[in-house]
Amino acid sequence: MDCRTARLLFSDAQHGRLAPDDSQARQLHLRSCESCGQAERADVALTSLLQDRLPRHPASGALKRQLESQWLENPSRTKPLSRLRLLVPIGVAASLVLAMALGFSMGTRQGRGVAVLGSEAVNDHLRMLEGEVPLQVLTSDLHQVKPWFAGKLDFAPPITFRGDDAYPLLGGQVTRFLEQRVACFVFARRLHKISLLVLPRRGLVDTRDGSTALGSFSHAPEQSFSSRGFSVVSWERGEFVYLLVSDVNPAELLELGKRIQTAR
Amino acid sequence: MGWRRNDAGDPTFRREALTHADALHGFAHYLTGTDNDASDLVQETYARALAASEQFLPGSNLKAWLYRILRNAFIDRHRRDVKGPTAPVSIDDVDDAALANPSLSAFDGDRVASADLEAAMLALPEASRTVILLDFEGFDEEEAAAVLGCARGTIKSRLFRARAALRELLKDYAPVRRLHGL
Repeated sequence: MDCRTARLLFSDAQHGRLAPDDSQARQLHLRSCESCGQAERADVALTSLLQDRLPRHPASGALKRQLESQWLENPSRTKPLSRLRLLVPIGVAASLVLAMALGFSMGTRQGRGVAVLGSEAVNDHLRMLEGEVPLQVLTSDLHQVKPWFAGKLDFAPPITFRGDDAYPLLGGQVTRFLEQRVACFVFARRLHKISLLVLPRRGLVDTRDGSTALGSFSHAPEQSFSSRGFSVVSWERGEFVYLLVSDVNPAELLELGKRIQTAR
Repeated sequence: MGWRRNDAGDPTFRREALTHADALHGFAHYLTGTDNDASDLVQETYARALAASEQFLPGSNLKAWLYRILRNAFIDRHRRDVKGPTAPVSIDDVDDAALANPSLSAFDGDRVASADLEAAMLALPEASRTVILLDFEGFDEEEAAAVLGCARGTIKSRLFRARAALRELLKDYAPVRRLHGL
C-alpha cells in the first residue's frame, strides 16, 4: 500500500469500515512510514476535537414544536407555497366583528384605530395562511395579477413592484377589510408569506359615527402595529393606504415596503 | 422485485423524519452560519420533504434523503441571493498537494475553543464543510455521494482534502513547547 492510499483510508479506519485485507495492509504501511503515522495521529486528533468541541446547534424547542404540529397534526400546513389558501368568508365576518369589538372597546380614538387596523390586518393574513381555498390568482407575474382585479374591485390597486429574488410575488386575492373589498398581494420572504393589503383611504372610517378616520399614516413605510408575533408596516400614498403584515423580521418588512414604494 | 412508493401519510415515516431535526439544524447552521437562517432552512427542508415524500424509497436512508433536500434548498437560496447561477465550489479542483504532503502541524486540542473550531469550520468552502459534517454524522461513501450529488469514488479524496484544510486553519493552535528545566 502506498502513502496516498493509506491516507485516503484514515476516515474509514476510524469508523471501523475497512475490509480485513485493507486494514492489514494499512497497518503494515503505517509501521514503516513515519510520515503517514504522523499524519494519521493528526487526523485522529482532529476527530477527537470535532467530537468534543464542535458546537452541535440542535433545533430549538419552538422549532420542534412547530414541526411536530405541522407534520404530525396538520401536515397540509407545510405544503408548498402553491397550496396557499385564501380566507373563508364566514371566518372573515366573525374575525371582523371580533376585531371591531375589541378595537372599539379600547382607549383613545387613535389607539382604537391602530388596534382595529392592526388586528384586522393580522387576522386577514392568518386567514390567508390557514384558509382552505387556493389563492385566487397564483402567479409571479404582476402583469397577470393586476388585470385580474379588474371588475372585482371599484379601484385599481396602484402597485408597480413586481417582486424580486428576495421578495418574490406569489399571487393575489380579493379580501374583505373593514367591510370593504380590498386587494391583497402575497409575497414571500424565504419560507414566510407576506400580505400586502391595498385599499382606498376613504374606506377607513369609524363606522359608528361614519366620519372618523381610523389611524394615521406616514408617507414612508413604518411599523405601526405588532401582535402575536406578527408585525404590520403601513404607509399612505395619494388616496391609498398600504398595509404589509407578516411574521418576518420587522426590518425585512420595512425593506419590502420601501421597495414597493420606490418601484417604478 | 417490487418498488413501492412511500406513503406520505404514514405516521412512522413522519415521526422518523422528525427525529433528524436536531442533526438537520446543526447541518443547516454550518451551511448558513446563523441559527435563524438554519431554522428557516430546516422548515423549508421539511416542507420540500413532505411535498416529495412519495419519491422517498422505503428502506433507504431517510436521514441522507433529508440532508440532500436541505443542501439543495441551501444551494437554491444561495443562487437566488447572489442573483444568478454560480459555479459550485468544487474541492475536486484543489490540487493534490495536500494529499501528497498533508499538514503535519499538530494542534493542541486543549487550546482550541469551541468558538474557534466553529469559526474555522465556517471559514472552509461549503463543499468542504459539508463533506466533513457528513463524515462526522457517520454517513458512508455512498450516502455522502448521494447528498453531495457527486461520484462515490471522489468522497475519500474530498474528505481528506477538507480535513487537511481544517487542520491547516487550526495550526495556529500548536502545542506550547516546554523548555527543559522550566
